Amino acid sequence: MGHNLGEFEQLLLFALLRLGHGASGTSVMEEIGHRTGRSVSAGAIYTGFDRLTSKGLVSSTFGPPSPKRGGKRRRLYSLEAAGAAALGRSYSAIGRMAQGMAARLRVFGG
Amino acid sequence: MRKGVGATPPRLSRWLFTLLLRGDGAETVWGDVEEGFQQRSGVRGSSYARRWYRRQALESVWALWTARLCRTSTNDVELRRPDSKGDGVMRTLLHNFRYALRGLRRAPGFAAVTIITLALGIGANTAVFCVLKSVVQAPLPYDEPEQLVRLYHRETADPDQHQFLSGPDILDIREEVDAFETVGIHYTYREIGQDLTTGGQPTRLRVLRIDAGYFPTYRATPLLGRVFRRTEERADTRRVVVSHQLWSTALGQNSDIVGTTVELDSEAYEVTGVMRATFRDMTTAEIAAWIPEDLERARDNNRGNHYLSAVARLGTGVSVTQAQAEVDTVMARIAQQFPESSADKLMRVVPLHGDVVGALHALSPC
Repeated sequence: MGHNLGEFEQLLLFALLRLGHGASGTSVMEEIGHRTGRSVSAGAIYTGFDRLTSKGLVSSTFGPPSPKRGGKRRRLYSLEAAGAAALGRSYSAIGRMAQGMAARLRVFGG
Repeated sequence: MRKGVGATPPRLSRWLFTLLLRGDGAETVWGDVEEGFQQRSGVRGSSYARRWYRRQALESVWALWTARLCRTSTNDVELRRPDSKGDGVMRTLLHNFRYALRGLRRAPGFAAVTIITLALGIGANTAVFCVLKSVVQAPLPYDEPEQLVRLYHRETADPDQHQFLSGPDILDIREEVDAFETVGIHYTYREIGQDLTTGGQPTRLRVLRIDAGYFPTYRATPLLGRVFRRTEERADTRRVVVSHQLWSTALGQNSDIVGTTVELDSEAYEVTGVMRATFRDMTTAEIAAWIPEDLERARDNNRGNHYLSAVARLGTGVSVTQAQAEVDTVMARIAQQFPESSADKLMRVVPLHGDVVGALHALSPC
C-alpha cells in the first residue's frame, strides 16, 4: 500500500534526496530554510523524520558525540527505496494535477 | 554585533530542554539546536544566535510534545465510520474533540501543564490588555489634550514615514504657521545623562533639551520661578528647570532655590524654575531636569539633518486638517526655496493621543 505524504514530509524527503546518504537534522533544516525561506524548528524536523522512519520510508543511525553539539550525538538520516517511491508518486500526482494550470493560477494571483 | 566562538546559549531555553525533553529525541533535537547555534554565533553574531536558539527551543519543545500527544491516539485517527449519520462538519468537529480528549486523558501530565499554561497565559494577557485599555482610553495628562499634535517629517514618496525634523524646517514652522498656538521642540534622542553634584556626591540625571515653547505647549506652569525664554535658546545658556521630584529630594525642597546654581557635569547652571509634581514629561516620566536646546545652531543647521521632535498646540477652533494645510503651504515654500535639500519634503500633523497610544489601541481586546 502506498503512503500519502504531507507537504512537510515531501520537503523532508526532497532534502534527503538532495543531501544524499546520512544527512543530519541540521543540514536538512538549513536546506529547507535556504530553498523555501521557511524557518523550521529542529523539533519539527525530528518528529517529521520519526514519522517517516516508522513508515519505513527513512532510516536513521547515530553519529559520534561532538563538542559543538554540546556532547550530543548526531542523528543521520537516509532515504529508503520505499521513501523514494512514495516521494515519486506524490510528486507525479502533484505534477499531473498542476499540469497546464500555471496560467489559470496566475489569473487568481498565484 | 559580537561574533565569535565561546558564545553561550540562553540559560532559560537550555533549562527548558533539560526539563521537558527526554530520550533519543531530546538528544537529537538539542544537539541540532546547539550545532545550529554555534554556526549562527560565528556567522551572524551571538545576539542573533541567542534569539534563534530561544525560538528553536520553544518551537522544538512544542513540536515534540504535540507529536507525542498525537502518537498516543494514532490508531484512533485512522478509524473511519462510513455509516455514521449527521452533518459532515459537525461529525468532524466531534471526532476531533473526542480525539483531543482521549489524547489528554492518556497524557495527564502534559494535559495538566498545557491547561495550566493556557490558563495562566490567557489570564495574564487579559489582565495586561485590560490595564492597557484603561491607559489607552485615558486622556493625556495635559490641559485640553485634544489640541496637541505631533509633527513628523516625511518624504513625498513614503506616506507612512514618521521621521524627525530638521532645525531650520521646524523653526520656519514655528514662525509661520498661525494655526498653532504654540510649538514645543525637544531634542529627539529623548534625554541626555548629566551628573548633578551636590555635597560632593554626583547623581546621574536624565536631562531633556527643550525650546522656550515646550512647557507652554503642554500648558505646564512652574511651581517656582519661570520657564525658558526664546533668548535663552543658546548653547551658552546655563539655566535649568528641575522636576518636582529632583527638587524635593536631592535639592532639599529649598523654596528659595530659584536663582541659585546647581552643578551639572561640573558646570554651574542657574535654577530658573521648578516644575509642578503633576507635570509628566511626554518623552518619559523620569526626566529630572530640562535645559535649553541650542536653536541658534539649529537655525544654521543643514536642512537634511533631522534630529529634533516637536509637539504643537492647535489654536482654539483650529482642526488638524486646517493646520496640515498651513504646514503644507510652508513646506511647499521651503521645497521651492531649497530644492536641493527639500524638494521632496512634507511635514505630517498627527493628533498626539493617537500617536502615543495608537499601536496599543489596536492590540487591546477588552
